[in-house]
Amino acid sequence: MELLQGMWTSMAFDNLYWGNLVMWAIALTFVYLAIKKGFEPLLLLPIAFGILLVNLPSEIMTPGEGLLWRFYHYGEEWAIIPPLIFLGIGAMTDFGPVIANPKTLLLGAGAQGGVYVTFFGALALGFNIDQAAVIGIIGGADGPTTIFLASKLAPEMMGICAVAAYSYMALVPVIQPPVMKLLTTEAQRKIRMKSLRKVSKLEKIFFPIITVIVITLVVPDAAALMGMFCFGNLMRESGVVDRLSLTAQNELMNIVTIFLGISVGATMPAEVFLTTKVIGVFILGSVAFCCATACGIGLAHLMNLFLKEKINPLIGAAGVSAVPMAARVAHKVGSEADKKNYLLMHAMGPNVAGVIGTAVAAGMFLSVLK
Amino acid sequence: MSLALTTFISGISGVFLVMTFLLIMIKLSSKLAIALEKKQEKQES
Repeated sequence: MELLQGMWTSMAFDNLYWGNLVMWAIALTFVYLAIKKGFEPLLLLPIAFGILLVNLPSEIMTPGEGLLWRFYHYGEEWAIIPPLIFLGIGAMTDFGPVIANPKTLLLGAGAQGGVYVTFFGALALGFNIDQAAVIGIIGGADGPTTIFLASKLAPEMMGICAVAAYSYMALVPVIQPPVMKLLTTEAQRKIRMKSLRKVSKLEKIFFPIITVIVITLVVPDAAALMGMFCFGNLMRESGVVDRLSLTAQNELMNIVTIFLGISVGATMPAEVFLTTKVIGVFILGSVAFCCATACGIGLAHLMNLFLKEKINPLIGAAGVSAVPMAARVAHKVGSEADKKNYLLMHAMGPNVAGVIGTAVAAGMFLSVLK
Repeated sequence: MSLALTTFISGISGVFLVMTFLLIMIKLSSKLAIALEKKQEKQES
């Protein structure tokens, strides 16, 4: 009998409580969504497993000892992984559409309006100003930027905000179209845009160099993200370091995604996640996406008042990052109004500009609040 | 002015300032790149 008692006490069952079981259910739901529904599986699956691990009674997140704590501490708290993800994104991104039509940069800026609307919404719901900034940046639809900002301003919000950001990114095709249709007329959705000019290799090489100089001079706090982003893009466009470029796009990106996902999931033990604030974050996250979409479209309408060659306001909605999903949605909604209207490449301009815009918005938050 | 308002005004103006500055610089760099390429083409021919 004593032997059995000894065995029982050495096991971890006594350390479980109902909250852990709820978190298991949430983790398994995420596993289901990733595997069965294909919702951002590359990130949702590692995040889900991180949630499961941290809600098992173990020392895996014990500061200074636990394995996942080390991933989290050196990867995210030290803000190393998000810039490495940006290196890979830079190496994967073709800035041709932005260079061919630089006006679309403004649409990438316009969509950041949603970030600030949500920022005030979060303040109104009782979040402190640092937490409100991190919740607001969800509207930028950029997971690594959300994690980067959370690591600097509100680490306790990192897991929740990362899951909200990635969940809503997967839901872009569901969230955006109703807002887009509400804010545009059929005639506006039918506006056809001129084909983009061909962009030379030298222009593409100049772009990352100019971008990193301009952004770092104006917003030094965005240097880590934008520096890596532009370096990745320069590797791609230079054409002389294909091995490095491909490594950044594939192997490195995959490796850091594993560490990012599992350690972000590990920031969600039941006692942190099961609070009423989480519901607030998810509501505000959807508000952020809707407002960012609306602000992008609104700015496109405003620009059309001054432009000779009108732009299709739908491409303004692609100013939220979520590359290339938001651009595809803009194209799809446009082609529903006019089957021969090809908006995809036009929408890629504001889409990649949105990545820059969100990183700059995060840098601006840091410069004021840190 | 409250910190929230300062954050908002500096943030939104910062984003637009960066993008406008970037827009101008990209237009200028494109002109420079095209001019350099034309010059090179002439030299080669």
